Amino acid sequence: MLLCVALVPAIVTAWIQPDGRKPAWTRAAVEEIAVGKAGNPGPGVIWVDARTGAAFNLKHVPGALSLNEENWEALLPGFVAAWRPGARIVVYCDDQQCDRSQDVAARLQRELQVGNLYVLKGGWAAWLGTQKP
Amino acid sequence: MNRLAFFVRIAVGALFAYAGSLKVMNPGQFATDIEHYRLLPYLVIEPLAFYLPWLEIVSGAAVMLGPGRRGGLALLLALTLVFATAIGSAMARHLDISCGCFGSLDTQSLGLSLGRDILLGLALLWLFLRSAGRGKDHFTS
Repeated sequence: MLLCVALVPAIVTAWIQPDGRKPAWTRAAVEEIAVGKAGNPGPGVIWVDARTGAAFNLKHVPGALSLNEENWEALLPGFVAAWRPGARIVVYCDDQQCDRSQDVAARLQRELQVGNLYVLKGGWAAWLGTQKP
Repeated sequence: MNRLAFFVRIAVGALFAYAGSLKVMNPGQFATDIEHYRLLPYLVIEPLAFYLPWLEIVSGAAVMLGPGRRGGLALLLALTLVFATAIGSAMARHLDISCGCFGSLDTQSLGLSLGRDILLGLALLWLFLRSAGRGKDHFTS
């Protein structure tokens, strides 16, 4: 009974959106970009490694920044310092199955309202596939 | 004892209603607070961020005002158990986050939040068992 009573104002609140945010279920996933089109890490292109700190320390795309949700507060200042208006941001995680890059990209979009944001299609595995042996 | 139970019931009900009201107007912040625990996917978190504050308000009001008191106590007890488990899990994973229990007003450490939840849980359990023993209230959820 109480569970249902609480549901009514919750639905109204979700409809009114008192803080003006768009709910996640109405937002499209962050657009994917292929390795060949992402561009190399540099002043205009920031690569963000959304994998765990341990995976990043083991190996990562040269020039990429580590930013994951486990250490968000500690790692975010590094990203903010590197970011310039208009810079392309490419977030990657392990492979096509992982969600971490979408989570980190969505959070960057949500909390910092950054644009020109992409998720690397195929992630780290796809990037490795483009490297010469 | 009756007077003590009355004051505890009003205090606990008011506390949950207050905590819910702090979060209800800022579901985005609450969603982010839940997200920091890294336990649920965001698509589940957002509906919860709209629903949980209202569940706290409605259950808190029921505990204070009477109709559905036992149901309200049971729900708040279950919520407190879930919150305490989430906080304990965050502490075990050494997450550097705040509880988020009282929206932006919540700045105390997770350890203190867990202690508060345990005390609240004990108070709720006492009230629930007392109410169940009496069997006066037939409104259950």
